[in-house]
Amino acid sequence: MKILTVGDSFTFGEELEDRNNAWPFQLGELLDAEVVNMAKPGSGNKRMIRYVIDYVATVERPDLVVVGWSSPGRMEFADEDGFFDLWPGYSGRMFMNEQPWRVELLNYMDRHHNEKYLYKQYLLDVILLQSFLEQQNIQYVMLRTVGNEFYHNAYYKETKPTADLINTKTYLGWPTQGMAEWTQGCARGPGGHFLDDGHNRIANKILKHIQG
Amino acid sequence: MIYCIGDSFTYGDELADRQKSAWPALVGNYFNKPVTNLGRRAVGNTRIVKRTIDAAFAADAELIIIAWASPYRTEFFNDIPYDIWAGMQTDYLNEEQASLARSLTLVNNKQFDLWQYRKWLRDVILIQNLLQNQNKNYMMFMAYTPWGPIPGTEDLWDKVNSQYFMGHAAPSNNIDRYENFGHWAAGCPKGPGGHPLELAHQKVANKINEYIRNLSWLS
Repeated sequence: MKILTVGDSFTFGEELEDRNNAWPFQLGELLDAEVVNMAKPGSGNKRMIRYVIDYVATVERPDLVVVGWSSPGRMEFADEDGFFDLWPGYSGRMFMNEQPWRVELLNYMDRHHNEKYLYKQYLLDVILLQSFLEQQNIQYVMLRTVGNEFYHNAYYKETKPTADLINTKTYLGWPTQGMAEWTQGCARGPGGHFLDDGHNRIANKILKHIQG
Repeated sequence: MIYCIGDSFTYGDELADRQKSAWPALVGNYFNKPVTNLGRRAVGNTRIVKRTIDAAFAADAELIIIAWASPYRTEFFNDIPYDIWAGMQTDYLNEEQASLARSLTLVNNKQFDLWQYRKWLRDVILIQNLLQNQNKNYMMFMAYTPWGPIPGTEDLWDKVNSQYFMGHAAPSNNIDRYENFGHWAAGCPKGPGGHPLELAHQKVANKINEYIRNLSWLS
């Protein structure tokens, strides 16, 4: 069995002494499966979709895909130096002086952060990726890094018709729970990432969902 | 109901009477079906994806026709979404949007083109899977783009269902088989803004009509 996981730093295993303890690998042990963890710190949701489709198109068809969705505020771009995600308040600004185009984009995003637009885009991304995986007969589980409570409550009325199209049976914790909520009380690193114990909880949560 | 989604070519820009002579209206006439024309000027494929999702879940959608825009348009937003692309005319943009367009022109290179083209192909794959998952009848074609499939996209083209992509008959990565609105309308009169006029819309509608009948989607 092969599991493909995509996500941001919380799926990557940021701040762990040994990244092999990140929840994707713990889940792999629990299911006796090989794991390809393509999570990247700072990843936005478009990058995750890119990884899943490109992996299925160019490498192989995994048996299970687990998507650890990130903040809807991250947007992916690319230039001659490669892919990059930006979001309002991005703290890597000091590294971007040689890339005026990136600075221009970032300044723009700071000025015009439109939460409702981005949240709706995220909901559509969920619907599209769910349809893709279902159509390809690939089992999948989705979850979010941070629960969706803020966006869900703030834009409930305007986004309900779209949110109602999501297959919530395959979205663990929908609509308000996520990794951050499930790891409350667990030790965290200085950067705020939950450590080994938290990853263990997430892996078991996903396992229970799959077996349930 | 037939839903048609696209950019200015679908909207019917520069036609004397777009309600009557844009290709969506003509296709509706062929099949004696009402048409919802969701073509809009200067939109990119991000907007086309959103409108297609709406159509995919519309109970009255008997057929969905998507005319993809150039993959090189990027959607931005402030109060409302809008698209920017490299080399675009900046006369009607505000200063901030014009600055973004200049930046996109500066960064425009092969790597950027490839990224945008692959991003669009993923949209095609996602939309095809969504429509198939919803059991919707659909077909699609490319309205206009400067190039055919570019090297480095073959893997994704292989995941595109070419049966429903007019102008991309298998083998999908054969550049010689690549056609779009521009090819079908070659030699037809155009408006000052470069949009094909009535004759071109008629030719494209004929082509769509033939394609749909071959698929047996509608009779």
